[in-house]
Amino acid sequence: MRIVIAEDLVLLRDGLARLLEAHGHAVVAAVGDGPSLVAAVVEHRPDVAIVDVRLPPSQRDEGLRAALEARHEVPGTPVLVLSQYVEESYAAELLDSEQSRAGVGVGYLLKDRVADPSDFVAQVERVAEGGTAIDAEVVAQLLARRRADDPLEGLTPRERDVLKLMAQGLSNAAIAGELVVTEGAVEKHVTSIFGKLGLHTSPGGNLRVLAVLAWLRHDGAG
Amino acid sequence: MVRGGAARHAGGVLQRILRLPFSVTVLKDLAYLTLGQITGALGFALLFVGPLTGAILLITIVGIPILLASLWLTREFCNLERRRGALAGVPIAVSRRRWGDGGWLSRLGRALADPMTWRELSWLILAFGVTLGCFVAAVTVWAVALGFLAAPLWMWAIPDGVDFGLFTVDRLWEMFVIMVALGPLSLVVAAWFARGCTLVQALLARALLAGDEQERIQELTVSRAGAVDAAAAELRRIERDLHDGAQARLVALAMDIGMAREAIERDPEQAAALLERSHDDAKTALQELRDLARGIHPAILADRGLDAAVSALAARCPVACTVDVELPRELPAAVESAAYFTVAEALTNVAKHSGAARCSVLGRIDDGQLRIEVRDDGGGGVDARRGTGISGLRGRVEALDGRLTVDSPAGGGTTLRAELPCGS
Repeated sequence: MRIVIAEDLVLLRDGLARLLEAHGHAVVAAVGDGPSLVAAVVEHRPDVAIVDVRLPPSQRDEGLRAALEARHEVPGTPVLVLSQYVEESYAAELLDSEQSRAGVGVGYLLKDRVADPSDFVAQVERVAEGGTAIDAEVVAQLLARRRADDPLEGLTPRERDVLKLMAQGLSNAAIAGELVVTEGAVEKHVTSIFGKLGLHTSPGGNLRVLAVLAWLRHDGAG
Repeated sequence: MVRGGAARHAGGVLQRILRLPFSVTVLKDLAYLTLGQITGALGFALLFVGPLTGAILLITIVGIPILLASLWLTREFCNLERRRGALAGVPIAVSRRRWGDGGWLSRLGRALADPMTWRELSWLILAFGVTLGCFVAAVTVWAVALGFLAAPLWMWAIPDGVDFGLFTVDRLWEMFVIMVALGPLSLVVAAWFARGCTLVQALLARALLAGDEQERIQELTVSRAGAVDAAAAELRRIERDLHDGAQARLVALAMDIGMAREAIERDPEQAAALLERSHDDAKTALQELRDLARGIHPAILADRGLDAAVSALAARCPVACTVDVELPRELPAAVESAAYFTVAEALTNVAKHSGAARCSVLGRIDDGQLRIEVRDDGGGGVDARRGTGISGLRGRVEALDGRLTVDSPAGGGTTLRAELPCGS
């Protein structure tokens, strides 16, 4: 895969490049601020862009802004946003963009996830292939919201586990691997969850993930 | 016992009465009165040149800035008068009230609504007569006293003697009698008379110029807001330092260890290299955390006091720095830490921006005030209003009722000065 990295701290930028190259990917550009990210994406048309939320000059959510802009310039560019701390609203902004809804890969992960290089690279690859990677902490934040008459209360513990992994963007096979059950068992849980939450069962893949996330974010109205 | 005590007490009072002419107070009183007669006249002139002219010019628009400027000048002039009070032993706190930001008209409105403005103006009117009167009276009495004391010396000037009615003094020995009999007494009287004049004037000044509670509350409100801002800015800085420093370092460290773990079977050599780098990263992270902790409250300050802490700062400064600090160990903790961070910030600026070849740090206690001065010979031209560092420091210093000033003419080096009351 050809990857563009935007991260202002040289230490982490070099580390990320090393990590990705060790796993056989090519880092075609590594930049340190928002405008250079947009330029690099336009120039290299990478398979995925990995972007730090906080970039100079504003040091606020410049990275997120730049990622959305880059995707506007080069439609269909998958974006994985990294952050020192996760904030559900950032994830919402990414997921709400038109292209995410149209199935362009999107991810929002805690920076700490690089501590497990293989898992991290797997998530980068998933986003590059048009999938979704949402940090477990974001999902936890979403699940922690209390709703009146909460349909989540009706889920069995196992179904909750499946829901969490599904919301993070894992496929049925990956969920089955994670929970050490068969894929068929996962499929049954998924059907049951969709029934309890009142969602239409979609064929699977990324649209299913987005439907679940939308449901979680919009108080079950999605 | 009681009677003995009373007698001793009476003796003490007498001694105090007799001692005044030979104390430094006499000189201070005379200096106070002499200065007062000058400032009184100047103030009266200022009243006409400044506020009155400004008020008359108010019929045109130029009157607004002129009147505002003259009221500001009046305040500063009265601050000189307040400081003069220290000579008389009746110091008055200087006024630092502000009339806020915004347009000239609204500032003028606030200045005119400020009761202290009117009290200062009335001082300008009253002071002229009072200071002149006090000065003339005190000088006259002193002249008489000195005349008695020097009686034999001016004998030649009155060949016919002085007619006292009952007797005429016209011989040298008689003049000596006057000198001995009246001289010392008149000296004591003159000294106490000057003291009295001084106190009349100084107490009148205090009655008019001492800040009222309202002003103090306003000042405290401003300084508290400054302190809150300074604390918030400090927290943001700490968060940034953590984010860019130790936290990022630990992420990289975790990543390298993760990669090493994955490589350990497949490629032990690469794993060893990764572990080595992780080890270095861990040590650097420790160092950064230590630096950050020092930025919050340096251990050396608590352990060894300001003196040693400032020397440590100077030793770390890449620009040659001389330290001349004479301070007691026991200073209030808040004062100590404000002084420390003032020096730290100043030296950081010297190293980063000034282009100076050398700098110096001075620390002294004067009049219950801790005075810290950091001076460099660099390019100068520092704008104290820009840069969060200095405004953060100012908030910190003003929260302690202190003052921070930056003197930085372009090309003339920079002097940063902090004065902090330390209540001793």
